[in-house]
Amino acid sequence: MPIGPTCIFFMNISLSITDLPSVLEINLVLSLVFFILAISVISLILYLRVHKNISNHRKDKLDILLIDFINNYLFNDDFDKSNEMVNFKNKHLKTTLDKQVATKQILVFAENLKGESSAVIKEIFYGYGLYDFLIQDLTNKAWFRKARALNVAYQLALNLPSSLVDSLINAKNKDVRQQAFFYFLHRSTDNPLGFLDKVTTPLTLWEQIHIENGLKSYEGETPDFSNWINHELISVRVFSMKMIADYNQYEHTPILLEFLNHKEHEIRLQAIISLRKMEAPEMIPTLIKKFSRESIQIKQEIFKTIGRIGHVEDLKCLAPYIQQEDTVLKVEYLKIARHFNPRISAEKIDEFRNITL
Amino acid sequence: MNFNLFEFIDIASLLFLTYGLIIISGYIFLALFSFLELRDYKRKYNFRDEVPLLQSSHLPKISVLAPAYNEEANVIENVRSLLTLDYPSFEIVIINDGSSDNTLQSLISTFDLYLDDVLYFPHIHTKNVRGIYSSKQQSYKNLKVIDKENGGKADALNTGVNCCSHDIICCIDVDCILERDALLKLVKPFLNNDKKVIASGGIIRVANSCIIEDGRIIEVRLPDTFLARAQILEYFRAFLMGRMAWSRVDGLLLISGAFGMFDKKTVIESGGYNPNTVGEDMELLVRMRRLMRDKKIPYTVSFVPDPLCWTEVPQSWKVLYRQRNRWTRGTIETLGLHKGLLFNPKYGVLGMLSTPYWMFFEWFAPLIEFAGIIFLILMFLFGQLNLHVFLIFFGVVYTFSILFSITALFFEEFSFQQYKKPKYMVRLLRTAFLEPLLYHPFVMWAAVKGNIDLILGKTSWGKMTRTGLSNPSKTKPK
Repeated sequence: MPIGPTCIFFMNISLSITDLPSVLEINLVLSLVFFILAISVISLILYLRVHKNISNHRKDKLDILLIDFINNYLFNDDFDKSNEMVNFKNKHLKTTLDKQVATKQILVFAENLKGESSAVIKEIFYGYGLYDFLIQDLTNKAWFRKARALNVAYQLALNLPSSLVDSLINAKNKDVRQQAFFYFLHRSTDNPLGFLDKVTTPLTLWEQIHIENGLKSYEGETPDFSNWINHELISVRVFSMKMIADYNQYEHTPILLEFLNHKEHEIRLQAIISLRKMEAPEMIPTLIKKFSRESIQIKQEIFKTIGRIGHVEDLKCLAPYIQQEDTVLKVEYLKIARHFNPRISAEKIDEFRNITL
Repeated sequence: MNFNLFEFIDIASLLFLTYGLIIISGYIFLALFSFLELRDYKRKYNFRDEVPLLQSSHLPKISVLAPAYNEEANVIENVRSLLTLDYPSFEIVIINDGSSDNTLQSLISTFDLYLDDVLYFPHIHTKNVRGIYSSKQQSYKNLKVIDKENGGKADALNTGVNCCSHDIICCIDVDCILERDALLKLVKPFLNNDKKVIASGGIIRVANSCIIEDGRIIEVRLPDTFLARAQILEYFRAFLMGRMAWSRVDGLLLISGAFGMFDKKTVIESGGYNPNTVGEDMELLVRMRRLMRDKKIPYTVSFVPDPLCWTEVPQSWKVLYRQRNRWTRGTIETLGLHKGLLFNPKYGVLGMLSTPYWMFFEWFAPLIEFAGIIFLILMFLFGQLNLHVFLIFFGVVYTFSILFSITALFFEEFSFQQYKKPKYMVRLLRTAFLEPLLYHPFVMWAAVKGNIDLILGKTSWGKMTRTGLSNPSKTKPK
């Protein structure tokens, strides 16, 4: 199309646009805004892709340099450690990304090296000035930077100022709180669960599992879990009861037996589960005695317990306490009855009314 | 007469504009909340290592329920894949929903099953159970197969709920491909929450054209067909923007039937899946939420942003039409059954935001769009259609559609970046430009037809034929 007529065409359009009713004018403006935004988002996608590629390329390059440097530092006797360290730091660790990459690489080495080498890895960490970087993260307001700092600190077995870490045990953000737990657990030399004394927020099951997992790699003496059995938080008490069973601390069986009569439902429930795990048949008379007053959940645990460590006579003692309409419990009862006598068929459920109230 | 027509056009235009502005504002909020959620997810991802937790004996046991209807061709491979999930304690419950092919026989012979006299309590009424099978082999001891009379997906899942052993259930489509750590990631919200978690769901991804080996996705590829690519964009919009945002405000109304985890007790207490609706997944969650609200129990529904489940999307227009028609009917049925929630402050976000959103944006949107098209045709027929007016209206709808899809693409790029090759991104961008013209009108028509079918009393699911997730590298030379 020649230039002259094209200009006239567009001028006509623009003239007719100014004559448009307001509804259409708004629509036209919106179309333009959306179009510009769409182009901007496409540009953003392209930028993100290019930026990710560039930073990945940089990370890969820096990783190679770091691996080379750390290997030399660890194994090359002719390596001029102090000078090379300064050179490397000034030349390659300028940006936050560089420091993050270096920290990650050091963590990889730390995971694979033990003993003296692991102390040298820490030396490199300090030499790179990454400890200051970590403290910066820890004092930052952003929760994810705090959590990241704690994570690095416990993985590298670094000591952090208690003034900065103590309060994080009860941090509002769950991830920070969890990383603080792991930090204290891994950094402790004699009391890995000491931080539980300061905990004021209930432990979630996920946190309990993480702590349990952290304890597996703890090299010191196994803690006496009864220390937290009277903690003000029920979740901490439940956790310590679980650990008593997991670590077979049979000396605490009497305390768990007492807990069968505890006023808190969760504690009674966990006491039964822990005692069952510890194969403590002495709890069965108490369970039979309390059966009729318990919740369905506890009743089901009682059935399981009798099935695991009790006798068929114990089970029969419970039958009179099962209400006729309590069909769920009847099925649970019969499951255990069948466990004791595998010949009982499903049809026996019809005969159940003979043995209940 | 002419004056009245102009007045009518003005009023209609204003109404469409107002609706459009509300929808646009809604989507902008969704995008904003999703972005915040994705950002937090990315930040958490940097320092979590959950693999060692798989050794814990304190993780709750999970029952994975998978209904199977005429799945003879793939069921064995799918069950084998499920049996290798990374989780310390779980059972797989396959519910053979009265298949007319050899699904049951294949399972019996492959897994060495025998008729087990399992005791269970039928909490929820279901069709007759013919038998429950267990394996004689120790390696398949966590596999249970239930054979029952045909009653539909909801009925099959209810049977699974009745017969399964554990307190947390994970309901899946048997042909879905789960990531190895899917159960651990989906169960996490149940364990790491101050409130009671009644359900959690994850992002569903499109598996068409992906390279699959031993029931696992080993390479993510972009499908060759436009139809599948358009659905990828749709899934990005639905999961990365929609559900992420609703999860942030605790307003999720739907956990996909393809992959969701539930608290069994709450499911039973709510009465289980409703076999009288074709949108049983959404209906169950709404009922569960309602129950918790009515009982004044603090609760939440969680959403995990990780891509944990891969599914095959319809490859033909016919199957897609049936699927969307059914989804629409399911949505309307659920909204109808729970109309008491609408603008009811007693239900909080659920009543004041989620339900109105689903009604106005999910149910009404295709109807209003369709009405808009009819309006344009009428204007054209009456000689009132001005080309400028048409182009401007079309322009605003079209540019917003592509903006929304491209924003979803940006979220994918920002978060997971599953489609790594640059050519994939270019093709997805091209699809985003074509989708509002070629794909969207079809989906809109399927939804409109869903409304009509519901009024006409259609209640069937519609046959969902799948081409199967074959490995492209094996079927096609590179």
